[in-house]
Amino acid sequence: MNSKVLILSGDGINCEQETIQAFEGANFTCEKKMLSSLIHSPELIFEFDVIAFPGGFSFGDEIHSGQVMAMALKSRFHASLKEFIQRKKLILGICNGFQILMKLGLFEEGERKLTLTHNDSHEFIDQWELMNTQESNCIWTQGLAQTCFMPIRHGEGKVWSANPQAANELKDNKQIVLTYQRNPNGSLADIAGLCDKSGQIFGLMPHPEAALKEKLYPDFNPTYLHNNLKIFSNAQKFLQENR
Amino acid sequence: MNVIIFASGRGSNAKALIDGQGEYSVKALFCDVSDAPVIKMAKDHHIPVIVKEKQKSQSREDFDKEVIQLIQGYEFDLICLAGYRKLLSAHFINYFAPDTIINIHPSLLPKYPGLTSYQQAFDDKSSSGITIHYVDEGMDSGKIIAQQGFEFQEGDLFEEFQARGLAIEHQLYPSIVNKLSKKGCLYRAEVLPLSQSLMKTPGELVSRVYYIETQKPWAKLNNYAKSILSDSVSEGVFFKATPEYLQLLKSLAPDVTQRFEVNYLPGVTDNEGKATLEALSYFDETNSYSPSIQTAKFYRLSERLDPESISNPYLFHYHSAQNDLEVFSERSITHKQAARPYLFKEVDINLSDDELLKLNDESLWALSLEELKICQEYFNRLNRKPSDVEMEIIAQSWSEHCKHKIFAAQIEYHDTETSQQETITSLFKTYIKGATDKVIKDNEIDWAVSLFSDNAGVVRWDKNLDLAIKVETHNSPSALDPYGGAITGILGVNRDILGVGIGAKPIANTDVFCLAPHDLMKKAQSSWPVDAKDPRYIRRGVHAGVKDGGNKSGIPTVNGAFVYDINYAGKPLVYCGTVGVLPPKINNTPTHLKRQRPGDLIVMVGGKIGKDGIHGATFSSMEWKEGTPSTVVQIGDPLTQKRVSDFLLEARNQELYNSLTDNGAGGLSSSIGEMALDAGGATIDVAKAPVKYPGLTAAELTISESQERMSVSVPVNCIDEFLKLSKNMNVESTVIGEFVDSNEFTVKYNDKIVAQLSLDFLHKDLPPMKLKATYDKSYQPKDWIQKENHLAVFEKSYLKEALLKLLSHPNIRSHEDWVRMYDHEVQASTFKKPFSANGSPSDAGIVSLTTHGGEEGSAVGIASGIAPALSRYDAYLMTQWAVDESVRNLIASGVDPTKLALVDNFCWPDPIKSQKNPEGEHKLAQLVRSNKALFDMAVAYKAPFVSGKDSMKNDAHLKDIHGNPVKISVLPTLLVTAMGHVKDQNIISSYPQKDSQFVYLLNSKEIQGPLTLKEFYQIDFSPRKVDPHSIYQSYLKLYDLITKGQISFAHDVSEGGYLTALAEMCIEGKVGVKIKNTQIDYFGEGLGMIVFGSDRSDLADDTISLIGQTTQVTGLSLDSENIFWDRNELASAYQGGDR
Repeated sequence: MNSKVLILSGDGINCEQETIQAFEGANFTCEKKMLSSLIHSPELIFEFDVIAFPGGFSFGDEIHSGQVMAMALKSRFHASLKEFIQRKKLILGICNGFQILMKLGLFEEGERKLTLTHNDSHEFIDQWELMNTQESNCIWTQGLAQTCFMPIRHGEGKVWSANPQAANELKDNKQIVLTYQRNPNGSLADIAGLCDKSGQIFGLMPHPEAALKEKLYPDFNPTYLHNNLKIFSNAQKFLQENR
Repeated sequence: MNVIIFASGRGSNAKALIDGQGEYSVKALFCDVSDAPVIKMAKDHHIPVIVKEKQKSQSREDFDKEVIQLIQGYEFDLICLAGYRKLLSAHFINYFAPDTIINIHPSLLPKYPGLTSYQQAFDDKSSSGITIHYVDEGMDSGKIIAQQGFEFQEGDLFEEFQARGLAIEHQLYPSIVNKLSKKGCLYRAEVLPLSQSLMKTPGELVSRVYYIETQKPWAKLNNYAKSILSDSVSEGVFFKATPEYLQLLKSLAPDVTQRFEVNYLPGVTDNEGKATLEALSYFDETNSYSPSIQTAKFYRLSERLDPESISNPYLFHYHSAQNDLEVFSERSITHKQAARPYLFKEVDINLSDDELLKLNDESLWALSLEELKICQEYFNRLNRKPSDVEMEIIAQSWSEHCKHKIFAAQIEYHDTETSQQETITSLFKTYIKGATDKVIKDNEIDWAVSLFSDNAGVVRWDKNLDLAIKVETHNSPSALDPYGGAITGILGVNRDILGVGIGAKPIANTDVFCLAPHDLMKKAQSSWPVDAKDPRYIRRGVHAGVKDGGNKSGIPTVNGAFVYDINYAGKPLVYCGTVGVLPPKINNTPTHLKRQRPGDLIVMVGGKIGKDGIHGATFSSMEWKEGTPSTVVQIGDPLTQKRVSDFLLEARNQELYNSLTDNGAGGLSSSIGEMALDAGGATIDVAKAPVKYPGLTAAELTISESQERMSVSVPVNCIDEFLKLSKNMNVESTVIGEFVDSNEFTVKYNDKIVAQLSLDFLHKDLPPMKLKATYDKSYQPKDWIQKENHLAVFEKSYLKEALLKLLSHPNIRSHEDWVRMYDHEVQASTFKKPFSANGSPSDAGIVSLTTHGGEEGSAVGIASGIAPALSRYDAYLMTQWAVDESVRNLIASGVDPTKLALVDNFCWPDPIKSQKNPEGEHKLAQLVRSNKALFDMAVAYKAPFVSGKDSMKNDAHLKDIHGNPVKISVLPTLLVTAMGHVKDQNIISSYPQKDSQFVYLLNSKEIQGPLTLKEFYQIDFSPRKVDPHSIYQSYLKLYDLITKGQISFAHDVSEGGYLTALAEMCIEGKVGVKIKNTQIDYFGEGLGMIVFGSDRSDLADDTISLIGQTTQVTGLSLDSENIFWDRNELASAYQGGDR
């Protein structure tokens, strides 16, 4: 049986189609679900192996990116997400999805100390970035080559914390997954992607789902394409092994 | 309302509160004395009791923290102190929302505060009283809610005196709490960043403000505010000016010289307020407060600035504050609750011509006298007066915006140069449709599916996919509010695509801005018109509008331009385009046909109706004068529109409706009025339409252009499914009427008919206007302000600096930093992006269609062409340049020249002669000549027009500071958007990546001269008419080489000539270019020129010139002149910026 992905959609999310295509490329079966159906029956998520939070502008990015969606989810099924992870399932948040996961506090235990906030420029920016894969617990990036190349498209992608120890703690916990080679937004410790302690939850600002075709690359040069495909096939592999 | 009581003693007031429950209920009682009698009393009344004594070692604050923890689980909206003997700590008081802790005190405060009030009053033999007040940090010092006095009577015993007071206490307290439970509250929450490192600009603190209005007190609002209104990690929420608040402000913005708050005017779209309310609604507990929310921004600045440069008076009002303590004191929001002046009224149009024209002007109908007379005659024949609703519907339907009367006019054209005279029956039919018909016929084109008849043109792109394209302008609204104008522009054209056929999905946006140079206001000094906005403000606004509109809708912005000229200072031109995809058939039914039929229900989908956007259609058909009504300005709501779009595409795929169209100009009157024509009639009841606020007249409901609405025709048997899906997808849909076969458009308000017009009349062919056009070759459009003109004569020694000057010319220089704020690759299909990694510009946006259901390897190229500078010479030339540029950009990207589709967008100064506009005949002649050129170019390039639009009154009549009139008319401006088919494998790079390749120039013989260089030096330039056929042949030749894989890169040559084009290509910096000795004018501009590179050395012929080679050394070298431009030197000139 194919592994199933719940693709959160609607309410301003707008990268669901390419996210579906990315997962389908790794032999997943995808189904779109809107917030409105999930909050009425949170138990729905247990029919799936992966929950993907695609990019976009959920609730128009009002207040802060991902804020309203995170609050809406928090109101109903924060606990179910924790249980989902205990059942050896996976969660992916890309861009706005990462912002939502961050604001749900899924990368931390206890009170939140981390956030994603406005880029140093306080402007939205669309450009491709080279990144380094760090040695981390992340299931999704196991065995990836050193260099990753993907577009970033965000206005609030700067990881920030008031706590001076935050970066070290993340490092010690092997939660830092991807770092920018040339920091585009002022992110703490150049962080582009994080995982939770279990490694099953992966959130990243760049868009791997928009870097899976040769012609999408600047110069049409797909040197790093394989790496991005592997993110999705890694998920498939983990689920097969943990069935 | 729920109440928690705090008590320490006997609890007589607590008992009174418990006994007095009515509008409120007591949910718990807290007591800090473990043996207090009140505990038993409460338990006897089945009230849960929490008891906690303060330990001696414990601070007041620590104790209060514990208390907060203990009571947190109980439901309460108000805390009532009833003989609670502890002073509450600041922590406790600030923990709960303002004015949610009250106390009763036995004296007429401020007299006799403290614990022995009765005794003191008695000792003074003074009459006294009871006070109920809000609790603050002081002793009995909070704001007073109610007071009631009682007398000291001579001979009173203390007990008698006190009993008199207690009786009042026990009666007053419950009655006040009952009252409070129905009292609306308004809270002001301000959100501040916790660190200076989170601010955009040091010295500028902009905080978010939320006004939360509830129907009863909400003690625990703080809990929600912290997690919802703020990012709890990086921000703090404050409800009053606490010491922490003041401390934080000091650290964030120590040198504030100016403070002001910017609030929305009533009824203006407040997207953040809407989203915040939605966030709150997910928490069940919040619903009982029926909250409403308005947001605002508070500015603290270290440098003084005119608040109106931030707070556009059409949309906002601002108020200043002297200090930070003051900001919470003035809490008020205004509601738009004006009573409806009338529902509808009869209008007397049997007036003299002068009176009629006056009425026309006052009512903003923008009808001509002839049209007014047609109305007169029609209603006289019916033997009744029209209602205001009817006149408004007619005005909308017959507006220039909707009817394109100038393009349909009969024009006597006189060319004074050739003495040629001719009569043109309709510019549109003769030239635009004329060219299209001819191209389709001559070339046996079978892919033109639906042209000129729907919201957008539809063409068959490959066997799996149709493409729809539309480009709109939003100039007038953008002049009044650039952000609102541009965002509603882009969202509006998206809806055109969503509303074409039975609905297409937008896959790409384009935007072209024609603006005044950013420093023009400063340069113009006292001649600057008072009401014209700073060009920098206009540019920031229109850019932000398109950015938010596109990004938040998930549509990539793949192509566009910034064009500058002084004559765009009055009205900027804001072009917004969209390409959409639709399957040719769904379930064997063609998707490009609308199928509304009698019996179908009319459903309004999306936003609510307000007064915003009233008269947009008629206003855009008028010039801009002082005193323009503010209702034409509005802000878009991309979230609502995205939801509508998601929903309608889903409903389309489930075949839940027959037809749809968007509500744009003219609102329901236009959308339903047009759909009624095909269905055979329509009846709507505007009382059913959801409104933003009450008080709208029937006419306002009918013509409002409130955004994000679509009109949908739903068969009765699908309506339940349709409404259910709509609800599930968070979209408001309302049945407001039905299509009928009455041949009438009827508008009702409940049972009252407020408009009833025959469709034959409403959509009749108006008698064409008769206009005169006179072409005088020597005529030049007048600039409203003189340019400086002390230029050096150009000579060779200026070559090096000349290129750098050109690269930083506003019309050439890179706008990459602006463009990268657009998401240009959402939907993961943008194969050619606006800029390369290091900043070389591309010529066309290319979007893969495979991911959208198209054939494997099928893509679409989208490009624009615009050349208003040529209008200073002749609009015929301007048009040739514009068409060629749009096509050339496609060809340089690998697009197939045999499958091109064009879209024309005219933005003209008023071309009708009048007293105010003596040059009207010339301007109309320019329009005629532009159309003639369009025809010639379309035929030569075998490219039909598939859609188009015109905006005809781009003039601003303003005044300078001395009161002198200033008229600013735009240059006659035509934007051509070209769309062409491209195969993935033919897409080529726009910059070289390999050294030792040969560099060629296509069509060097087409050079006409250094048009842009002329702005820096004295140098000759005289443009000429060209034969486009030979250029088209050269495009075919280049395409042939591309398909054979022999071309490695190509870039269009436009402003600044081929040296500029090469410089742009060198900026990527992979390799450089060395130019060999050529006799070709380095800066010459013209048609048909493309620079391209190949491994082949033998491509030169009569149209292709070899001009150099790529080199390992980056940068550009011109050996014959001994000049070398370093890559970084080129880049800093090109990317310099001008903010």
